[in-house]
Amino acid sequence: MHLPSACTASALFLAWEDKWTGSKQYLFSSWPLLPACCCGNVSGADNPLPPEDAPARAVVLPGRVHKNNFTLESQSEKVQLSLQTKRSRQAQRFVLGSCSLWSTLAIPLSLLAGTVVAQVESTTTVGSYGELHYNEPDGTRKGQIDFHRFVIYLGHTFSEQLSFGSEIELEHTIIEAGESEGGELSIEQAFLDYRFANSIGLRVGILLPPVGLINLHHEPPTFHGVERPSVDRVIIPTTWRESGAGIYGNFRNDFAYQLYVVAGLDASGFTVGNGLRGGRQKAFQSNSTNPSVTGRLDYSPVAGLQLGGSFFLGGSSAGNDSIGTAFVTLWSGDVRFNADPFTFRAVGASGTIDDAESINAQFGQTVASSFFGYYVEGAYNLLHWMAPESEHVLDLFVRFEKYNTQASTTGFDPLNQYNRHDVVLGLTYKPTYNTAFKFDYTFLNNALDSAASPNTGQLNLGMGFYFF
Amino acid sequence: MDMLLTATVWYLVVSLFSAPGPARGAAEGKPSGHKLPEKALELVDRVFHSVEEVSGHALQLSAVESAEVRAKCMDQWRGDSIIILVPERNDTILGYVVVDNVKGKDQFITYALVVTPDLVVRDFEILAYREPYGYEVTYKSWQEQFFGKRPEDRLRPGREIRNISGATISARAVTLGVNRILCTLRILQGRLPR
Repeated sequence: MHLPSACTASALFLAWEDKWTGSKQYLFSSWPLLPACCCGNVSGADNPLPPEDAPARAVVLPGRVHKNNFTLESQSEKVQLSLQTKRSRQAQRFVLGSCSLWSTLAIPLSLLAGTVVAQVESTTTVGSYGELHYNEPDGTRKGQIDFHRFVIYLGHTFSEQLSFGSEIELEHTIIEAGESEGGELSIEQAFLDYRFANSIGLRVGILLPPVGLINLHHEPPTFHGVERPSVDRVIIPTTWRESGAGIYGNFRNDFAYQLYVVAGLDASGFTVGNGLRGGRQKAFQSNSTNPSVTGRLDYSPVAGLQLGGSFFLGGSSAGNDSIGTAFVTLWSGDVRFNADPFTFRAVGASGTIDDAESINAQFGQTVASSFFGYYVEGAYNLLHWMAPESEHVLDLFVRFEKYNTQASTTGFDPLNQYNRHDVVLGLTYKPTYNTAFKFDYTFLNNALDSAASPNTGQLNLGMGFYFF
Repeated sequence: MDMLLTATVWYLVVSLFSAPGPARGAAEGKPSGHKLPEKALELVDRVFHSVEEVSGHALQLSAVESAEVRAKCMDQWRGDSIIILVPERNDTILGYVVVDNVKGKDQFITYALVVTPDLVVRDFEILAYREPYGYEVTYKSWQEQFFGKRPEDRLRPGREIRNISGATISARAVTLGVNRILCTLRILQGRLPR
C-alpha cells in the first residue's frame, strides 16, 4: 500500500461543502497535516489471497437517511475492510485501532480510495475501424477492389471532466510522393471535451457537423450497404469535419443537443453532381471568413425510437467578395427505429445556396440554388426465425434513395440527370456486433436515362469492422 | 463533523467501485466527483420513500462464485467485490442498490441498478456519463426497458433490450452490466443482507 499517495488523496479529498449550512468544511489542507493517517494501524498489507472459496467478508457502513438529510449512526470503534486490487492481486486488509470516530472511518476508506486511484495508470484508448469494398459495375466499366478506409482512433481521459478524442483516416491505402492518383491521409476528428455537467459541455477542435446520421456514426458495421447512402455523400457531404467550438449535452432525460460554430464551406468547390461536397475545408488551413453554425437536437420518446433534427447555416464566400456571401442552408431530419428483428431508418435533407449565379459565373459551374434528398431503409434479421438463439445477425435490407442536386436553378434550367434515385437491396451478416460482411446490389437511376447518363447498376461486396 | 464524516463515507462507498474518473477527480479536488454519492442517495430516496437507514456492503466474490459468474452471466466483474447499498425501514430491507461501472467506447459509465428484495429491477440511473457520444443511454425511455426484469430474463443486447443506433457500444455495455448484476445477485442470493 502506498501510504503517502493514499494520504494525499484523502487529504485533498476531504474537503466537503456542507449543503445545509452552505459552509465549506475542510478536514485537512494538505497531507503532512494529517496526523490521523498515522493513527490507523495499517497491517497485513501484503497478505496473500484468501483461500479458494473462503467466506466473503462483508463491510457494513451504517448510516441513516432521512428526507435527503443523512447522518451517520455508527458508533463502531473498529472497522475492518478488505479489498483486492486489480493491480496487486493481493488482498489488502486495514485494521484501524483506537482513534476518534471520524478518523477511524474516514481514513481507512480514504486509503481504499487511494487504492482505486492508484490502480488507474493509463486512460488512453486506441481503437480502429475500416472497410474493404469490391465494386462490380454493370456494363463496360471495370470493377475494383479497394480497402477504402482505415481509421485509427486515439482517445485520452485527462480527468473526470476533460477528455480528448481523435480519428486519423487513411483512404485507399497508399499515398505516394509525386503521384496524383492515390489515397488520402487526414485527421477526421480531434477535439477536447470539457464536461461541466450532463447538461452542458464544451467541445473544441476538429468537429463533425452533426447533420444527418452517417456523418456522426460511420463505423461500417453500423450501417447497411457496402457504400454509404448517396444522400450522405452528395446532399450531406459525409464525412464532413471542420475546425470549431461549441456546446453539447442532454436534458430532460430524453433530449440531447449539439451546437457548434465551425469554419464555413468554400463555394469554389461546389459542383452540380456532388453538391456541397467539394466545398468542405476539412480543417486544412481553413478560411475563417464565414463562421457557420451547425447543430442537432435528439429526442427519444420511447425505447428504440430516436428522432433527430439538424442544420448547418453559414456563408461560403471564403473571402471572395465578388460572389456575395453565398449563404448556404442545410436542414435535415432523421428517424431511427430498432425493435428486434426489425430496424428502420429514414433521413431527409434539404438545402439552399444563395448567389448561385455568381458562383457559377466565377467558377464555371452549374451549381443549383436548392437541392434535396431523402432515403428510407428497412431491415429484417433473418436469423430471428432461422436461428432464434444465435447471437449473430443476418439482416436483409432494402433502401430507397431519392436525391436531386439541382432541384432549382437560377439562370438556366435544371438537368434531369441530377434528379436521381437509387434502390439498394442486400444482406449484412454480423458475426459480432462490431464486424460485418456485406453484399448488395444497387440500382442507380436518373430521370434522364440517356445514352450519356444511363440507368445502371452495381454489385458490391464488402467487409467492415470496428473496435475500441 | 458527523455530516462531514457521513458524506465522506458515502462518497467512498460509491467511489470504491466507481470509475477511475471520479476517484481521480476527487483526488484532484474536482467538484463533480462529489455528486456521485449524492446522486446515489437521491436515487435511493426517490425510489424508496421515507427510508430510515441505508447500509453499504462490499460483498467479495469467492473464486467459485467468480467462476460461476463468468460461466453464466455473459460478462465478468472488474475486481471481485460488489458494492451494495441496502435501504431499510422498520428493520425491513426495501431492496438492493448496486453501483457499477462499465467501459463505453473509451470511458467508464457509472450507473446504479435498484432491485427489490426478490431481485426484480425497480429503477436504473446513469450516475455519470463521460463519453463524447452515445449519450442516448441516459434516455429514460431506453432505461425503462430494464424495469421489471429478473435474473432469469437473460438480457441480451439488441434482443431483450433494444439497441440504440449511434450508441451501440454504450447500450451494449450497460445491458451486459445490468444482466451481470442481476445474474450475480441470483448467485449470491443466499448471503445477501436480509
